[in-house]
Amino acid sequence: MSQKHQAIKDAALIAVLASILFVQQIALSFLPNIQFTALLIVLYSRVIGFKKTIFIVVIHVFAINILSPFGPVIPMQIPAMLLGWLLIPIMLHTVFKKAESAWSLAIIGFLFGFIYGWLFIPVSIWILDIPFLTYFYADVLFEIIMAVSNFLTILWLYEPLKKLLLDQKSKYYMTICEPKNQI
Amino acid sequence: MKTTALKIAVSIIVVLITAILVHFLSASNQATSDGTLRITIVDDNGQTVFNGDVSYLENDSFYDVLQREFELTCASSSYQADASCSYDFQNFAYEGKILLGIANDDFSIQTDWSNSFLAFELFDGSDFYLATQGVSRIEFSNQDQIRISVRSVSEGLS
Repeated sequence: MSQKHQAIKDAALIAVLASILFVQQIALSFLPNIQFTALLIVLYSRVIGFKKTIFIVVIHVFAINILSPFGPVIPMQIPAMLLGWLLIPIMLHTVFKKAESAWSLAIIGFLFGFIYGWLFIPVSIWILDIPFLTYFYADVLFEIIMAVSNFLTILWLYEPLKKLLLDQKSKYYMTICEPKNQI
Repeated sequence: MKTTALKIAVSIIVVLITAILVHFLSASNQATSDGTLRITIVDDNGQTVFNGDVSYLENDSFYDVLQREFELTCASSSYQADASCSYDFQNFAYEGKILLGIANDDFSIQTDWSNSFLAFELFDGSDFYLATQGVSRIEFSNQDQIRISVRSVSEGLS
């Protein structure tokens, strides 16, 4: 496959996977902090690699803030949201590079539920002037829900989805060499 | 087989612990006896438009107290203004009403959730601090002071 074809295929793959990420989050947004976003980003990080996952996360954060029927988050919180979701591929390619099993990734997902919530604290305190304890008490329930949601979805769905995505990926990138001079 | 059994066991334990935590962190906070509250309402210009005592009855939520004393506008399921206040949010993480507007014969305050909202603050004897629960679940007791004020989303809470 030429580099050009490879780039087109990569771009199409990024678009499709970003769409899946976007649609599931919108579809589940009536349930606070219950979604497959962490699971999918973990899956993308492990199957399609760091760079493509970074692109997908950036597209997702902008898409969710521009197109969500529930409206964007406060503009000052967008960097926290972006950093939050980028932390998954960054952590999985650095400190947790060796974490491969569903159990270890589920525990990372659980911890991430709290870390993601805490990333919004600086903006809330310093820019929006919300008192720390007020914000912390009000948010802790949602952090617990996100942590548990991440843990359960990764624990149960990571391995079957990884198998499925790896299978689809190998078919997608399979090179077909057609003879040029057929008689 | 052993791994699946372990996954099921761990999942059940995690869900049970979460349910217990959600239950304890989401206390309904209804009044345990009759009493009175001092309510202060501040409009978007910072002017106090209401400052007075209101009575409440046993088993009232703070929303019930306000509903008896004022004309309220709540959020519908899509966060649009709904004067009938017929919609109850039933998420496990938040149950109850979302208040967007409050009025009586002398004043009328309306927020839109996206750009402005109503902040609820409780007086602790020296200063007001933000409530950590919604209007249906704010904890209160006899002689408490609660301030309701209009805030801009972009300008923050202080």
